[in-house]
Amino acid sequence: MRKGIEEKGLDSRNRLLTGAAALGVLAVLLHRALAAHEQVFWLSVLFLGALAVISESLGGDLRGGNSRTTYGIIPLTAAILALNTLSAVLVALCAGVSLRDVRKRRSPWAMAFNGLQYALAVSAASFVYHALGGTTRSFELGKTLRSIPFLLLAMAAFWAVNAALVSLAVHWEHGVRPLYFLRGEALPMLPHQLAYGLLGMALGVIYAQNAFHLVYLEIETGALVEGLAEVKANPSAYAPYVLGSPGEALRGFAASVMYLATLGVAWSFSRRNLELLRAYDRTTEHLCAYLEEREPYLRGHASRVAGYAQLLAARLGMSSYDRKKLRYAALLHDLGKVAVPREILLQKVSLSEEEFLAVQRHALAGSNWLEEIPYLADTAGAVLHHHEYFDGGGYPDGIAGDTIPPAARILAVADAYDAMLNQRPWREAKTPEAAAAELRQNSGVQFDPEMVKLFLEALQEGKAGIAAPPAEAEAATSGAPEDEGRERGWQPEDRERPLRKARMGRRRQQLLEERRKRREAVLKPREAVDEKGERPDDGGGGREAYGEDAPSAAEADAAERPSESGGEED
Amino acid sequence: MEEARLKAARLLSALICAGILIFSLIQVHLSRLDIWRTLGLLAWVAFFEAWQIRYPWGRPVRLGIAVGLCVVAIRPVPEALLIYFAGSVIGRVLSRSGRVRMSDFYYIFQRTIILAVAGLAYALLSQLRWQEVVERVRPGAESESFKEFWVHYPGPENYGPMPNTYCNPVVIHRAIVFPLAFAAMSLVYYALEMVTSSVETGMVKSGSWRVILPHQVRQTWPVYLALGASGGLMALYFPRLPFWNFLIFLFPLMLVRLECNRDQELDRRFLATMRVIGDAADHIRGLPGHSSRVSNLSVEVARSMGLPEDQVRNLRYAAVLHDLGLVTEPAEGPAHARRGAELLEGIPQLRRVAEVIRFHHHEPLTAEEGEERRIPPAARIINVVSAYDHLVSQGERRLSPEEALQELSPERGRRYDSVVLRNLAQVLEKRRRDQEGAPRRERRERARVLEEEEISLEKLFREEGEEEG
Repeated sequence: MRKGIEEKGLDSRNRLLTGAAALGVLAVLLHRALAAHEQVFWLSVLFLGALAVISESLGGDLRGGNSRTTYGIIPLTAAILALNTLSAVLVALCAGVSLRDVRKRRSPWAMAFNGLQYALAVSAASFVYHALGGTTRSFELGKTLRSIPFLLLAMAAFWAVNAALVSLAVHWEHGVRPLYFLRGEALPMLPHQLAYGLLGMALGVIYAQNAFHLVYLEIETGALVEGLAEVKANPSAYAPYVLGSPGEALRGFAASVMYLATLGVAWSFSRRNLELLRAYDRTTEHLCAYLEEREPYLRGHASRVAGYAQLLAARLGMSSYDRKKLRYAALLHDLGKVAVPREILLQKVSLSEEEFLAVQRHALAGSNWLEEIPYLADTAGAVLHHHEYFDGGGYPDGIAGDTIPPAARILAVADAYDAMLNQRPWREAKTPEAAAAELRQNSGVQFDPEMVKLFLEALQEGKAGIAAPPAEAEAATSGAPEDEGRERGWQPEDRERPLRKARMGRRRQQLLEERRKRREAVLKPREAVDEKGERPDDGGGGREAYGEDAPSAAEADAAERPSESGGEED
Repeated sequence: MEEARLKAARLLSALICAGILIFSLIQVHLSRLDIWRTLGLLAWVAFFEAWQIRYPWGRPVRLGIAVGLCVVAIRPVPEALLIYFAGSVIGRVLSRSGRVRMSDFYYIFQRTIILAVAGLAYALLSQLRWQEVVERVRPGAESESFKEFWVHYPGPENYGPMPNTYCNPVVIHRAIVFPLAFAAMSLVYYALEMVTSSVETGMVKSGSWRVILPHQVRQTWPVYLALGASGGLMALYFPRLPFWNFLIFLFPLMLVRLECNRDQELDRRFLATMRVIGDAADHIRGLPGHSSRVSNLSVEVARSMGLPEDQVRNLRYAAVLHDLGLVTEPAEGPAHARRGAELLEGIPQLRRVAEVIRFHHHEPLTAEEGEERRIPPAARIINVVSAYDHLVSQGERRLSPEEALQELSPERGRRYDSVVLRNLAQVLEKRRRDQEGAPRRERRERARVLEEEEISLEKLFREEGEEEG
């Protein structure tokens, strides 16, 4: 994987690390050249090096927050398989260059760092490969194939060195603890790297099979070749390879082109996926922000909460996959408010019991909606429980401590912090210091203490990068007449309510469980697409049942929420 | 009527395929068949055939084609056809764990026929001038086919005495002719497959195959390129790596499959999230479920009208988000349609969707000059269906489907497109027939469950209040 690059170049400790890596690579190169008498296959290095630069520049899999897997490992594996250590390390140095970084004029230190860490990783891998007995004798195919397990082990060594160096760099740059980084970002990348390694192996086999044109050319140019002495000593045995080589070369090129064409197709699809992911992200954020426009105090709330939640999750070392999900859950968490009658949300005086229960419904409604999106179905719990208190005094279930899903605890902190920083009609916006003090005061009671601590640490280090909330609060105050909507969320004074109110968890769980079972049994989702490509009109499981029963469903809905439809007539 | 034509076409292809297979069976010299190699190839075809690549819309493609093309290039055509057919059948049976349907066989027949034609093309092309080359290198040698030579003599060491240059014409011929012949064969295969698939889609959806063909080609060409390239590589390395070649070149195909399926999954994810947001918007304006209902009904109408699948996709998105503008512009009018479109315009993938939303609301179909305005068909559909749904589902003065249709028809041609109205009527008719067919008990059960849920939640919240109160 490649380290993401900061605008300002590397931290000073990272520059030291780069220097140390440079020394290490130099040592390896000198050792292989002088002590082991290895030769450099210049033409191969050029070819695979160019391929490496192209692969690195293709963008790769942006799974990491702080690092990026790229396709560069494909030519690197081919180099390890087909070339000796010296040449492979040179190819790896080329892989440090990524045309994207060049185009964006990023600091050369960072490219140097990436090149050097790749070089160290490749030398480790090559060492492992040769130590285990892997062969680079290209024309002995049987031996090459039998070396495949060794190659896999070598790729694991590559990953280890790569992950270690990048985690160190990321730790000094971003403050993420190495263990968290390894667990969260590096470990999920291991299967990817091994898989790409297999692809690289195939390229190596193809390349090795038909590389004798290079032997031929290297003889012509007089460059020294490993095994050239052997060729010279036994010309008749090698004559077919040498003399037949232009044809073989053509076949090799044809094969490489076909292979790269297949990989190119895969890459183009992955680019489209990436764009679709980005579009999804922007659209969701944009539309959630739009839905908030009715209530001035809510404006921007979802994005900010998502930002805080991601900050905290990164600090906790959540894997980037889960962080993404959390982001969307955070963006969609307050959708449930539309299920609450607007008058209650507008209410300025304290809520009655019934009204408060109606407000609590927004957690349930929000989580129902999330359940309908298969991708986000497991974060539905986070939204359902995001108003739970750490000591059990929250709603809707009154669960406490670790039974609250971690995502819910994160959301609770983020939601509360943003709510405090923004003005509400019944109180002023708090300053960040006061809000932080409030968080600390309630940690253990309302919030998970560990999370509060990490969150405040992260905020203090100023890595938030989020627009200062007070500016938003300003905008909220400016155009807000008295009768505008307001949100009634948790308040510290709510704690004075008898705690018993929220503890009805078990009965409710039961009812919900039964409901879920009945729903599944009767509203069975249709089967997946068949050969004809006919697909059911889904995107949300059992919803299509409503198509047939439109009248009765609408009736049920209308009967249940008369106040809403009454309240919305404006 | 389309059904009958389709059935006739399928029967015809089944007969032709059976004929070809019987002919192949006669042609194959069972005594000269290497049983292990044949079984091995068959097993690989079966293995690859079990994997599918799904698109976000359109027919899935199976990986068996790659091995099929490879096999046709390395074995005589009759033997190759038998291997492919048997392997495909086995692969399908295994992948669906026994639940094979007639339509599966139909596609296998179709592909076998196309492969036969492609194989013949390859056999012809690869023999081009092969005889001359052999004569030059081995004068008086027994002429052998290019294919046999390819398979039996993999390396330069078998090329016989070299002429006095270092460019052995056998090698060069082999190195150039093989890729070109294979590419030509793949093209023939692809062309035939696209044409047959377009014709079939045309028959099912009452469209012209000439219109459908470009859409299908645009969607499927990258995947078929990958399949063809992998097949070529497998054939190229088969003489040297009889077993490993399939495994090695399976990996890139798996990568393609992974990315494609992810594409489909992302699309679904996107749609599901938009649906939820649309739902929330509906709740805000007090008409819950409107967007979902409009979306379901519009897609049925669009299918009945024969819209191509990418337009149906845009329609789905647009239908789910069409009333989003009403959150800030509560009046139903062109303003809310414009607002909704503005929201989505910034996102390139949803540009078409934004266009559909912009025009969806009750725009007059003809401008003052009397010309037909260029409103996308998807927008016309949403226009009609949304109006229909308003009539059918608003609380108090709710109409039945027939009454609603009658209410809409005076504006036929002016505000509501007549083709859409006609198809809507057809779809509703079909629904009514299906409903009567469906067991009443099941429908009532569903309705009851839904009502019960809502009531039980109400009860729950009230109970809580009582308990604690």
